[in-house]
Amino acid sequence: MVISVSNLRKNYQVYQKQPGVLGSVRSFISRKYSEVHAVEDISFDIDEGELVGFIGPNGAGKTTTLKCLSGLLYPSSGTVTVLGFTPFERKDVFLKQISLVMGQKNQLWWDIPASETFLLNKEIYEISDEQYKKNLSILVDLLDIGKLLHVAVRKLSLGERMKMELVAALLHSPKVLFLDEPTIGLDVVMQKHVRDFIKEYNQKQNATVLLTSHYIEDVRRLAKRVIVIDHGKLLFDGNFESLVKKFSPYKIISVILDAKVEKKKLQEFGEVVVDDYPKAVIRIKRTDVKSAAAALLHESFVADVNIEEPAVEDIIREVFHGVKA
Amino acid sequence: MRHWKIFILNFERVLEYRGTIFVWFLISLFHPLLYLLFWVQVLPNIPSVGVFSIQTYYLLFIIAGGFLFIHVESDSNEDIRQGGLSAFLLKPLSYFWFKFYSELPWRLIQGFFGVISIVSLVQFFGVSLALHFNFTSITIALCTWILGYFLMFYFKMFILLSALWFTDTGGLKQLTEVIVLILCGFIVPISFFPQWLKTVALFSPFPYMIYFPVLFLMQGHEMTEWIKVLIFQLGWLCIFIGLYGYMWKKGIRTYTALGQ
Repeated sequence: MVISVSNLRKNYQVYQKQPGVLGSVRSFISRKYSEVHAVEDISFDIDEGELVGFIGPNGAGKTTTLKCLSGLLYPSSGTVTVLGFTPFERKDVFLKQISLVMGQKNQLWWDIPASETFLLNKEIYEISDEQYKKNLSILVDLLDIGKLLHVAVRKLSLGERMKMELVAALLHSPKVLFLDEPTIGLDVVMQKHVRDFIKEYNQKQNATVLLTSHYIEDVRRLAKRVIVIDHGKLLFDGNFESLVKKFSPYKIISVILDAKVEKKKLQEFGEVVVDDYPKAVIRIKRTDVKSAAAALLHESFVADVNIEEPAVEDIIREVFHGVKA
Repeated sequence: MRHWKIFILNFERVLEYRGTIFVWFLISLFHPLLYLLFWVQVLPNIPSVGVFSIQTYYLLFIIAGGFLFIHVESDSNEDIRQGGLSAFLLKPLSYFWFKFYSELPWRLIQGFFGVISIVSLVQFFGVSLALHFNFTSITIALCTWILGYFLMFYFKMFILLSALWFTDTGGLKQLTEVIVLILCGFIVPISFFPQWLKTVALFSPFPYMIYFPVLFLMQGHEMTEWIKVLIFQLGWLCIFIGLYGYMWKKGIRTYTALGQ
C-alpha cells in the first residue's frame, strides 16, 4: 500500500464577520469563529502504480486532502501514511519521493528561465548528472518544450508554464504524484497533451498518481478508479462503471423523429428530457431500456433510436445534488 | 552546493532589475546622509562626544545599512498570506536557509554599493574617515558584522513567521522598523542616549546587530569590550535560534496553505 488514509479529519477555525460597518465595529471588539470541517472522516488506500481520480465540487475537500497527503497540512485527527512515512514530518527522504503540482500556482522562478529552476531542483533533490540529463531529455521530448527552456518564465503562456511546472515536478522521478487541477485554464489541445503525458508517466514509471480535476473528462480518460467527496465526506470509491451504475439507474435514448408527435406520446416511454423536433431525448430506467427501445422502433413516427449512457458530468452533478434516484 | 545554487540564482534575479536595486540603495544612502546633516548642525552643542566621529559613524552606516538591514520580512505576504510557503515545504530544503541565501545577494550588492560610495567620497571629495585598522580589529569587526547579520536575519524571520498567526504583519513590520532604527543607534548614536535608555538598549539585541559592528570599525577598543560584545551577540544568537525553532514548530501547524 503506497497511500493509506484512515479517518482523516481537517478542521479550520474561520472568522465570521457580520456585514456592514456595525458588524466591523462589533468584530473589532469581539470576534466569532466557526469551525469548518474541510475533511470529515475520510478513509481510503491506494496501491503502487494506481492512477486515481479525486472528484468533488468546489470546497469539497479535495485540495485539503492532497495537502494533508503531501505534508503541507497537519491533520486535525486520523492517520495518513504515504510510502510508509507520516507526511507532516516532512522528512527529506519522503519529500524526495513525492511531488505536488497545483495548476494555479507554480514553483518556477518568474524572472529567470525555467531551465534555471530545473538546475536548482537538481541540486535540491540531489539528482545525479546522468539521471538529470536523461530525465530532462525525456520530459522535454514528451512535452515538446525544447525551444522554451531558456525563455524567462514570465514570458511563457499559461500552457507552456504548466508544461514547465510538470517538468520541475517530475525531474526527480517521484514515486507518488499529487496533481491538483493540472489542466485548469488550458485549452483543449493542451489539456489533451497534459493528459497523455500524465498517463504515460504513470505507466512508464509505475508511479502512483492522485489527480483532482474539475474536468470530469480528465478523470474519466485517465483514471480507472475514482474517489468522490463532497462537504469533506467520502461519497464513493470505485471504478467509473460502478459509479455510473450506482448513481445513475437511468439510460438515455435519443430518438430521431420522422414526424412531429405530441410530448404526451413520448412520455409513455419515460421522462422526456429534450423535445426538439426532429430530436427527442428520453430518460429511461435501466431495467426498462430494452423493451422501451423495441417499442419505440415499432412506432411509425420514429426514424432512428440510439441508446446511450448519461454524460458523466450529469451523473456527478446528480451525485452532488443528492439526486440519487 | 544547493545553497550556492540558490545564492547564484538570486544573484541573477537581483541583477535582472537594475533600476530597482539602485533605487533601494538610494534609500540606504540618503537616510544616513540626512542624519549626518542633522548631527553636523547640532554637534557643536553636544559637549560629550569625545573622540567619536559623527561623520565616520554615519558614513559607515551607508555600508551597514546596505549590508545589515535585512528585509526578508517583506516576503511574509507572498509566502504566508498567499501560500507561497507551500513550494518550500514540499521540497527537501530548509526554508530558513533558502531565505538566507536569497537575501544574501541583495545585501552583498547593496553593501558593495555602499563601499563604492564611501570610497568615492574619500577619493573625490576629500572626506576623511576616522577608522581603526589592524589585523585584530579587522578580524573582530568582521566577526561582529557576521554575527550582526545573523541576529538581524533571525529577527526579521520572526516578523516573517508571525504572519502564520497574524496574517497581516504590515503594522508589526513598521513598529519593529522604528524600534530597530532607534535601538540600533541609527537615528541617535547610542552613546548619546540618556543613561536609562542606553541601559535598556544594551540589554536588547538591537545594538549588536548594527551599532557595535559599525563602532568596531571606528575606534580603538579594549579587548574586554570586544569580548563583551561578542558574548552578547552569541548569547542573543542562541536565544534567537531556540526561539526560531519553537516558532517554526508551532507556527507551521497553523499554516493553512491558502491561496495555493
